[in-house]
Amino acid sequence: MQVFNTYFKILKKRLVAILIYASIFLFLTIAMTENQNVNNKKFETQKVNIMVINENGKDALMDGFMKYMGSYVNFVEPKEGEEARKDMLFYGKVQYILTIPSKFSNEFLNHGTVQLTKQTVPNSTQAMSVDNAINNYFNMGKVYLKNVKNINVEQLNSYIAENFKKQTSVQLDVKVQDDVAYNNEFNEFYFNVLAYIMIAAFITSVSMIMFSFNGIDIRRRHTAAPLTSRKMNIFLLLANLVFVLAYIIMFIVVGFMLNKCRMINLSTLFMWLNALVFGLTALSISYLVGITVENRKTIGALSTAISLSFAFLSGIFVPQQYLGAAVLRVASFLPSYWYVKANRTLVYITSLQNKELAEVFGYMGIQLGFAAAIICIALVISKRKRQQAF
Amino acid sequence: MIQLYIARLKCLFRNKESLFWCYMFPILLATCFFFAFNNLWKVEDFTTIKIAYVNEGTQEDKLNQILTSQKMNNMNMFDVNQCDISKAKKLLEDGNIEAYVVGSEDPVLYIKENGLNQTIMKSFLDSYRQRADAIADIIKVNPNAIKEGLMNDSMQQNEFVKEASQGKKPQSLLTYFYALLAFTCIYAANWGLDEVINIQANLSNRGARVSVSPINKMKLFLCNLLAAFTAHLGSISLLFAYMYFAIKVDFGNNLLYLFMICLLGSLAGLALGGTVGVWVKKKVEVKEAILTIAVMGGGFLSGMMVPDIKYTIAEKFPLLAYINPVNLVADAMYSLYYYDTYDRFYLDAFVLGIITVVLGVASYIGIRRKNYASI
Repeated sequence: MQVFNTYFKILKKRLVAILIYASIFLFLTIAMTENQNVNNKKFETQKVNIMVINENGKDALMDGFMKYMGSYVNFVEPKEGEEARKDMLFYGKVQYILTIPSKFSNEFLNHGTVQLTKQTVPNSTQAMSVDNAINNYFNMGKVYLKNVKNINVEQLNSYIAENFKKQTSVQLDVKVQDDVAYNNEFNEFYFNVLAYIMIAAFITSVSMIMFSFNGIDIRRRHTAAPLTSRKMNIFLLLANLVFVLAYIIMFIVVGFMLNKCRMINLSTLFMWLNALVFGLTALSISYLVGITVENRKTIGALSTAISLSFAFLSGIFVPQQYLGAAVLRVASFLPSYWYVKANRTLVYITSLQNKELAEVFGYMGIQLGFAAAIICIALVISKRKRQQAF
Repeated sequence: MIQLYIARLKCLFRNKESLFWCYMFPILLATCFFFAFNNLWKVEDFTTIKIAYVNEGTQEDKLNQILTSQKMNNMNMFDVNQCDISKAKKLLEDGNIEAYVVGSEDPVLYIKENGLNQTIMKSFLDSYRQRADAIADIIKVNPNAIKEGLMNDSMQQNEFVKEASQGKKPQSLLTYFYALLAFTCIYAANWGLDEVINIQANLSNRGARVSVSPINKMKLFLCNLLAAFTAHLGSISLLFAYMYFAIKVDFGNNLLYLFMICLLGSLAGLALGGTVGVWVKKKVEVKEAILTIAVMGGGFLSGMMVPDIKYTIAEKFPLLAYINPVNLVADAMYSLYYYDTYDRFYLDAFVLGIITVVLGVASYIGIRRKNYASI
């Protein structure tokens, strides 16, 4: 029992670091999911943010044009100064800056060839979608101007507005209910980031404790103590498991509270299980680090290095679908890759009959395999160290 | 003098921990950024939208022709797979296409989720139908229009927008790399702190020993600072070379200015560390924590974790943007890449210069003429 108590006594000293990681995690989750809304089952046009600099001034043609564009874009208040506008474009606050040159309306109505100018991220889909809308409007206007004699701007506007009422009907084929989809996707994001935090926090805490227990002087004293080595290891293991379990359960509860559409379904339950499985893997990594390092300060460095590289490579910070094939191949040698993959698959699990469930068990099995392999390495090292102690 | 400098340099290079944080950690992070973002650079680029088209048995199918032939920037807009409805459904379900269209006269669009490509698809179909309506409207008021070439007019698609003069591509992902390089520059603060601790008799045993040695303290301090500056410059050069040659980050065209702002950033970092070392009368750990928070936090506010933050801070709290040395360095790099003029660069460099001088003077005042009768 002394071992068990000592474990938590040392853990208490690392509490600040653990709390810092926990708060980073919560901050990240809240910041990233705040703007997520439950999707509607209806079709919605995805509007592009656009800034219009109108040097032409307001007139009837512009009114009609802006009204038409309103169904495809969000207008952003124009900013003074070229730098401020360029900044907005760089940081994606607007995707399109449209400049309407002076006398544009005049030229257009008199069949001139004047063009609007745009600043965009070249070749982007957003720019393409706005280009499309602009060209549609003016091409249509041109057809009317050319073929209807003596048409005035008001008539032109009313024709186009009337045509615009004819909308294509869209059928949105939804498989999963909206709140279920939200719940599952929130869980996916939350538990993926949790993997990063688990590795970082476990290495800073568990490794540090293991390091303390494995110091050469402490080990020598232990050997002389009446407590058998077996008993000590069992207590250490028990303490580790209690800590990891408490940590994960705490974050499962927090995650459940933060989820706007919280629900306990099959997908949620399996993600919890997956988190527990990964917790064991992270624990084994921390254990290995703890008994191999020779310097307290190395642990801090390793905690940052391992957690960040795992997070970036296995799709925790950037979804796996955006990672290159080569990166994914390398990442498949990391347990976190399989953890993230399992979570992705779990988003779509609705019943026990889903054949993807077998895949998920496979991914969990691979994680446990990693854990077992790491523990074996750790045991070998630990044994060699024991022999060195005398 | 030179011996002192070399000795200190050796000493610095034997400190494995600070070598890791200064040399290895930024390179590790840059590598992570590189691998993680490798495909994201192109994710916004338009690619041909894959769709399926279900014909309703009409002989001549205009819509299909228009869909197949539609081009944008010399690229096909749609990759059309003509098939029956059950196959189209399956394709959509498996994610092989983004939408399918049924019918020619009164087309209906079937999609699985809302998105930009779906919006483009819908707006295209809308304009197709609206054009048909327009033709009907025109014929009503001008029955001769067909003869006058109405059909041709309606098929003709002119471009009404042109790209303004093309500068550098807006790429918010670059913010990560600039902030990382800037962070590494200001990270010199930890080296500055070390130097102060090593020279001050009340902070370390070595400082006490140095105080009774015959060498002039300021001279030694300058030697040590110079050694720290050299060692730190090594880390910046290494990171820059790695970013520029290995992972090919675009830094714009003026590398001389870029190097200058890095030097200035490193000096600012040393001065910051010195000031905290001298003026914060707390344990070494507390000083280290303060610097870590200042430098890491500075990195965070300059967009090292989330690029948006840099913009938000500059918008909402401009003062914070101008007193954060990491942001000043990162912003100078950004302006070198993105702007045609150097105004913003000069402003950033000027403010950073002032901060460096102020902090430098502050640490000098703290260090000079400290004597202890007994310690």
